[in-house]
Amino acid sequence: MATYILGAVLVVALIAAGRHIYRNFADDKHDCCGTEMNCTKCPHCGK
Amino acid sequence: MSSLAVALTGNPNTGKSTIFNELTGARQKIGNWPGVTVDKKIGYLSHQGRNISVVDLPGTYSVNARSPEEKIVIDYLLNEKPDLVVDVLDSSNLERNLYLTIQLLEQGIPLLLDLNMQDEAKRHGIRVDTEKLGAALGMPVVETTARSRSSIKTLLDVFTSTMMEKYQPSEKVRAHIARVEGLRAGNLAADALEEKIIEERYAFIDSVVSECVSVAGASSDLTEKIDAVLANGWTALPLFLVMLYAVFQITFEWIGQPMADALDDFIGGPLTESVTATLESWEVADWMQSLIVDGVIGGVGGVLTFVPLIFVLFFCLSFLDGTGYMARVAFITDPIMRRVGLTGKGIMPLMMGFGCAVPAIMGARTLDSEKDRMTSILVTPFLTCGAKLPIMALFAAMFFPDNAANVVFAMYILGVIMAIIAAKLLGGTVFQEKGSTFLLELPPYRIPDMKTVLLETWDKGKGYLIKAGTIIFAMSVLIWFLGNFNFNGMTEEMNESFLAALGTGMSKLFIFHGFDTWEAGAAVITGILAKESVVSTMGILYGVGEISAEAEDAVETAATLMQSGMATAFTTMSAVAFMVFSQLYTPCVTALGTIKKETGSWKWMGFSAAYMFAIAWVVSLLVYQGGRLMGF
Repeated sequence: MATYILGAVLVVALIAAGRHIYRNFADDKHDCCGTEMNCTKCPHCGK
Repeated sequence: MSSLAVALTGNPNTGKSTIFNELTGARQKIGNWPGVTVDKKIGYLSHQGRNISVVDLPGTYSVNARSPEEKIVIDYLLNEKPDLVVDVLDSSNLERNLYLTIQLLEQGIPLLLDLNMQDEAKRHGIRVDTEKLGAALGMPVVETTARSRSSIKTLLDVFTSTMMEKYQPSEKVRAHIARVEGLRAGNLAADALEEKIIEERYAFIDSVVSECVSVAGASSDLTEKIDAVLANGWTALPLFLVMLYAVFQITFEWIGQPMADALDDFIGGPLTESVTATLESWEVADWMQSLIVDGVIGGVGGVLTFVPLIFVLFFCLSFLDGTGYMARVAFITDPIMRRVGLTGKGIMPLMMGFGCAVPAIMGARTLDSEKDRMTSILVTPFLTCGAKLPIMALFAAMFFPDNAANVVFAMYILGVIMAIIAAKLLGGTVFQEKGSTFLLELPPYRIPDMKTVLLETWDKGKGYLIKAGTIIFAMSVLIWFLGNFNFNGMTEEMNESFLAALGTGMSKLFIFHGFDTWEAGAAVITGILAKESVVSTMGILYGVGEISAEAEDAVETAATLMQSGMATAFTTMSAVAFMVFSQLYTPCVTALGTIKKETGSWKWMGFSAAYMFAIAWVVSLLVYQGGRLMGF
């Protein structure tokens, strides 16, 4: 039973991680850039 | 409520961004180097019953429309026609700042002059007669100190009470404009005309400054005294290298590494042990235990171990930025940058590359010429970004425990040297357009605002925590899956897995480099997806292997299984060759995507991926074979 519960937790965590990665891609954002903004509005880099 | 559109313009480093932040409450990077604000930023507020929108325009020294910043400023002011244009000037350097002012007045743009940095001016014994300045230009003048609440309140009151329609350029300004127009109507050649107009502007500025500015008992200038040493032609570069070396000592020896070691001990020891014990007590299936302990903790934990190093390094760089020293780096490195066909201004995006290649590649937009921009974009990924740092730190600690900081420093220098060589080669072959000149104003030295330093450190460092919890986590699970499964299902032998097949294919390229194992090949592949994955791959692949007798000695000094596994897979020379390869090879997919976006070309993206891989392959081969020839 514990295996199934942990498996479910991992699947949820993977979905959340995948969603974050996809949203970054869709919103044109980069985690390591150090800003919450998307790149087209970012004052660090322009445009 | 009626609305009011305000635009902030001015030279870089006049406190414009600080005023914008104080006015609108928005947080924005406040740096000391030119080009931090590359495009407009808008904030909104209400005051005395009016809705005010404030646009923060890029800092620029002139509006000749030569650089993107200059074009943005002049296009916005002429086309959007805001209700109020506030020209923010550094009161302690009025002569330089008035050059932009007079250019804007020549364009018929009415200005509210904000004499900012009053505190700096007072420290220098400079006093500006605002009434005389206002009369000389025919424009309203207000005095501020950006960080002062009362100044911001005054500024807001002035915003809502000033009727710009009442102001007309003074007789003096109109006479200057007539002289400039007279010159333009003449028959002078373009270069000579520009020279004459610049002379005319400075003559005008000189007469205004002599009328309105007095310097009372000039105090001893600390900035000049410090610059006499730090920005001196002979000592500047050695001291810059000493400063960088000190940052590396702090990061990799004195503060960062002990913290990283403690975290490594905790993750590899109590955390792993307690999780394993808990999973066993819950009777979790063996494969799930392996996935959690070897996959997730081995992969994500392997990357998290290096987070203290990243935070300490970013803190040091943000602190230096806050003192005003980093702005000098452009000046200090200008002679070197010119030798490779760039200017000192190009060092700023490159310095950003020590954090992450993505903003550094985008930051190249601030460069004036297409040649400078393209060269910067293509050489930036050679530098050691924060994601490569764990690779360097891991190998340095494992194979050079007594000289880890020196070895990592050497890798950083290698990245810089390769970037310089590549810039020189690209400048001499692919991009032969003449480079640009640049004007740089050095801000005074200041005691850094610790709040800003800590916020910047957190902003830059938190990305690695987020990445550890998202892409590195997902990659770790994927790598664990690929390392434990093949077409027949789960396998006990990792060297029969999907990952081994992929890694074996890649490893064929490195048979002369000393690291032709499938594990190293797999790490090279995953490193293209995200550089941190090199470490997480090592953590997963070497963290589960049998410890051979040969590695027993290493276990005594290395805290983790991963390091003991690596000790059998790499010799000292092959470890150096792997570090060199990791330092220089193909950027991660995010950086490649950014190169595509910034150059607008698949061709340049492909070129970047291929030429960096080729250079890394050749340099790494030379290092390994050269080292062996020398008997290492």
